[in-house]
Amino acid sequence: MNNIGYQILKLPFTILSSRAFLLWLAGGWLVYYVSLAIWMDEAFAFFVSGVEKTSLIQALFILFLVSGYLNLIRGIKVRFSGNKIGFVAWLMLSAGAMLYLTGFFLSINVRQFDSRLAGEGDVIRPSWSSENYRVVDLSPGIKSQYKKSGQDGLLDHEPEITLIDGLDKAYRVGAYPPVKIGRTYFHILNYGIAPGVELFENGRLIQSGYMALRLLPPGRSDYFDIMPYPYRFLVSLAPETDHGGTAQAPVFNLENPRYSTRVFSGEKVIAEGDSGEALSFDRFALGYFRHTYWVQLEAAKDPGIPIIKYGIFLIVFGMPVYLLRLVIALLPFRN
Amino acid sequence: MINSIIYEAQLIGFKEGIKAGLVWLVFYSYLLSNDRKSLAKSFYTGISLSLLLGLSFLLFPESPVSGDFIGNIISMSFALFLIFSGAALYHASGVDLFVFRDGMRSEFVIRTLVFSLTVIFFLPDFTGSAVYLNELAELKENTFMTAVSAAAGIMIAAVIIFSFVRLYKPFWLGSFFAFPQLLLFLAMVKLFGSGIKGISELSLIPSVQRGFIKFIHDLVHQTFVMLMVPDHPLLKKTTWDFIGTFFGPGFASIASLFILLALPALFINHTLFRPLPEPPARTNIARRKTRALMLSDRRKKAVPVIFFMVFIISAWFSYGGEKVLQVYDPEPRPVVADNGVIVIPLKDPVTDVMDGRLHKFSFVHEGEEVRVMVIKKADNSLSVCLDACEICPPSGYGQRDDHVVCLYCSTPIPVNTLGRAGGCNPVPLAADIGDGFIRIELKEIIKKWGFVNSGR
Repeated sequence: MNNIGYQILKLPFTILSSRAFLLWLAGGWLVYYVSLAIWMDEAFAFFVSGVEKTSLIQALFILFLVSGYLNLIRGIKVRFSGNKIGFVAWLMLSAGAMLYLTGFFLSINVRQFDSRLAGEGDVIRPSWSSENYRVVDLSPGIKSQYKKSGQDGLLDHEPEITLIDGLDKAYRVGAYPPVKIGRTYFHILNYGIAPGVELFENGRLIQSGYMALRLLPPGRSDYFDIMPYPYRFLVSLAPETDHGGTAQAPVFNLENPRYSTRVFSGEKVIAEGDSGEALSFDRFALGYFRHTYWVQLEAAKDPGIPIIKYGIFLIVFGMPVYLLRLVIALLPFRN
Repeated sequence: MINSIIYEAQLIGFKEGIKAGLVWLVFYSYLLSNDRKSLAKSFYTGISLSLLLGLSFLLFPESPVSGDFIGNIISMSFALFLIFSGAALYHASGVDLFVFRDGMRSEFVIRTLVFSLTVIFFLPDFTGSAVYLNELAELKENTFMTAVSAAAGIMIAAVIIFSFVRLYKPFWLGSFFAFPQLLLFLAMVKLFGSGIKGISELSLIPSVQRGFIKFIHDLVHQTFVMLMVPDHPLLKKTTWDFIGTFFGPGFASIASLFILLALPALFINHTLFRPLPEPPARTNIARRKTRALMLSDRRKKAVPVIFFMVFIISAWFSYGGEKVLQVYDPEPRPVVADNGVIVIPLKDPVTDVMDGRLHKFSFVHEGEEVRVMVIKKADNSLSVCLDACEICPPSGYGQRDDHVVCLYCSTPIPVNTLGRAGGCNPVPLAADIGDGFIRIELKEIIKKWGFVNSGR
């Protein structure tokens, strides 16, 4: 009786750890993906969406992972006593592939992420975290001058911010790699200039603040509204010098930028000018003061990230070893 | 009569004839070397039925199914033969993939299997060629000569194959093929000879390359998103250039080639490197002899696979260099605004925007060149977009077959999906299409061009 019970208990493991079952699953995935790729325009997006939202696909993916790991364990037992280089190469590749797929599945299904604009002094708290982080320093890395020749880069170095937590511990966060603070990864996703804007009504200052605009690289324009007034302000960076229609590329001063502004009332342009001049319209006037910078900070809680990294690491190092082993096996002096 | 031969039709007939002849030769040789000649009947029944059904499409003045649909079926059958060959290889090397194997060994099941595989192999190709010949006949306005030319092509192929078989009796070929190698051979015949775009695309390699390149690009992109690698405007140019290599067609092409070669490499691994089973022989001499025979047999069966690999690599690079990686980037034609509207003619003596190629138009606004692109989709509708996306610097797009490709980050976008906003898709424009013109409000273009690279 005990023996039958043991056999019944063992049966799922026997099936899952069999190569035949793993190959059927792998073949099924291949047929599924190939069908998507042939019949749909965005096969990969559809596949990822299926892994994220369709229970059947999720269940099959988990079965595939479980079967893969059990086969890996079985393979280790079988191959361990054989050629050591071959074993290590096989193990790195197989384990790397399994880790990558596990991280892929986790990342798609359990990643939480948040993204927000931040400037110096702002406090950040991802929605899943109880910890507050303050931006104490923001170094945008933008060049002081930019020549719009098409080849010139905009950055001296990649943008960085310094965050401090509740214990005043500081963390430097850049664009890549993301910095892990607690269980959350942070990195900068975008950056820009936030001009200081003042609105006057009949000569009296009524509103003032920074507008985080996407004006970079120069040539782009962005707009802002000031509630409750019925105007829209379209802003772009103005070049430093006017070349009088010559073919020279315009140069932009990004240390002390000038702004070209158009004021819309509905579809109609009612005023335009650059920040060197007073921009008056109706009973209002718009002025600029010293800009600041903003970054778009992305935060993610994702246990899949390190798993994917280890997976890629093992694949990248395992692949050449594996290929080398094949080449060595083909060499004529080998028996 | 000779002057009226339609050579394109003849070539299509010749191609189908050679394919059928080669498959027959290898399959028949395989049956002979395995003492299963009786199965040839199922093959002949299958190929005859496929030919009849395929030819029946010649009777329809307008094909009931589109060329694209049949192209997809052909691609699917290629993929299935490739996957079947891998499954058969594993099964042959001891992984028990088919549980009901005793039942499967009955003569009836095997005959049905041969018949089905023959139909799956030939029917899509014959149908595709018939539909193409129909279109050609309409273009040449000569149905009779198109059919005669195709038949002549088939006859030439038949004569070549027949003469070759009579002269050389190459039935020893069968000893180079086990069942998995046979399936791999069928997949390779499909790969090299199943294009249905006439002489412009004889093989499936360009479409397989496109599919793989798109897959690699999407996989790299997804991995970068998961690893939180930021979008390119944020990174220094050198960093982005490094990352950009993983998005480039060169990397994708090499990675795709590796994927396609993985299965033949698996065959080589199984045939050459796996330890030989201990032969059941009484004496050492007999055992050594048996081992030598087994080894020789394995090496023989690796030969066609090595051939396939060499063919794939050479074809991959010859197509890769000239066709698949080539991006068509037309010079923008200048246009001017008329009363706040940009007007583009659908057809003029120089351009026909409905010809399926990418068309670009430009005008200068406040010293900056603004570009608009127009391309016809598969459903004959026109897609009108900015020649820029919301993420990259506005380098614009080029056309690579049924995709447009971002010239900055190499993202391929299927033409049929144009019109969707966001990401690396070209920014769609509202346009009024009718009376032979495309009309786009200037302010619509300017507004959206202003937001290019702004993330809105």
